[in-house]
Amino acid sequence: MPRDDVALPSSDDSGSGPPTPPVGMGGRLLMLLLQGMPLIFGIGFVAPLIAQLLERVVPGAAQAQWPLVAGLAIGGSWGAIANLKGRWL
Amino acid sequence: MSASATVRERDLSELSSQELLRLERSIADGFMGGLPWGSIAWAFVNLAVWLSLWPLTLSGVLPLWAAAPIATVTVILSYLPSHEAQHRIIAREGERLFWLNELVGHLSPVPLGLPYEAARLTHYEHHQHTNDLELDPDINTKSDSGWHMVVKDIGSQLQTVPKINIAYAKALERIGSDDARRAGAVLLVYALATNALLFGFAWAGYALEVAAIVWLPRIVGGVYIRFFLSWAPHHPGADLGRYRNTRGFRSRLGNILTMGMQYHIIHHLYPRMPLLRHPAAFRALRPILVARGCRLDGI
Repeated sequence: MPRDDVALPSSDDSGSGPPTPPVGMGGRLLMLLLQGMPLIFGIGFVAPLIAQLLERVVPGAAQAQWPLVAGLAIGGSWGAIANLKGRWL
Repeated sequence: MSASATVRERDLSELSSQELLRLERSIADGFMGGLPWGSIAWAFVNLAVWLSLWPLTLSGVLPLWAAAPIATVTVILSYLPSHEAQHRIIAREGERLFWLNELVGHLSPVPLGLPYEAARLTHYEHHQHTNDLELDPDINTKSDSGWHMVVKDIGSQLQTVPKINIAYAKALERIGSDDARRAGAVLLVYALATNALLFGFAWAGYALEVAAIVWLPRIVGGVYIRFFLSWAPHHPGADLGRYRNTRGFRSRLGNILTMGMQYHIIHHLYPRMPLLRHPAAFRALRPILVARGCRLDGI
């Protein structure tokens, strides 16, 4: 069963099969979006998840800005590393 | 006297392969047809429970520690009614209730985030090429043991693009039909929409809530589904052929917690037989399965 992540069309079997049509601007943007999905996921989901967790467990954090900054720092860098390495851990 | 009653009394070794097949089919026929109301009710009740988790959890009525396991159970239960629809068990194209078949197919796996057409087409590939190292899209679950499968599956989920997704995309690419291209596009839209949903709720201040209802249950439920629906019935995944590519097995968890998969061999022999009739069909067909050299591990 597929997960939420997206498998890009295969590029490792070049030379076989019919030629693929040229990719338009929309297609290129979509490819870019998919290639950057771990980073986007880190900022879009992991960051607010960490921020909300910190707000719940650290006394007084709910009123402060730092949980969101910490969430963005951790989520953003985790996503960026996952983007580079192809793995979350 | 029914065919299943006579099979116990006959010496099956006296029958030719064709006669055995005719006997097998005559017994299986007794379990085919009819509307699988149990699976239809299962689909809608399960979906209703999952949908009800949204207002209950987001409003704080249901605590996260309760929402997450309930959501995980609904995710696990969401696949099989759609699987019935994939095989047109509720109704075939052109039949009066085909709309119900498609409705169940599309709605049931919503908690799992699995689009129906991609699931249907790749699942047909699995049936056609069961245990084929190159062509079976579910072959990634092949492992030496149950623990090995779980560790391998978690490892795969930690990849930014898990192997199973690549296998499904490749299967759709290989099919190459307009339906497959459309299914691939819908798969992509589903994945992007799921992420958009997660991001939207997370930034609206409900990150833990969507993690409990969607994100975590899909990870945990996904492992459970792949374990019992893919790994266990096909282990060791070494044999090809009608009578050897799937096995019967006895699980300590029993029939309900394995979602009927102890009898999955019946499904591969008769894909259009309703799931809830598999145990009875298995008992009736067992002597023939033994005569055919099927692997029936403890059941």
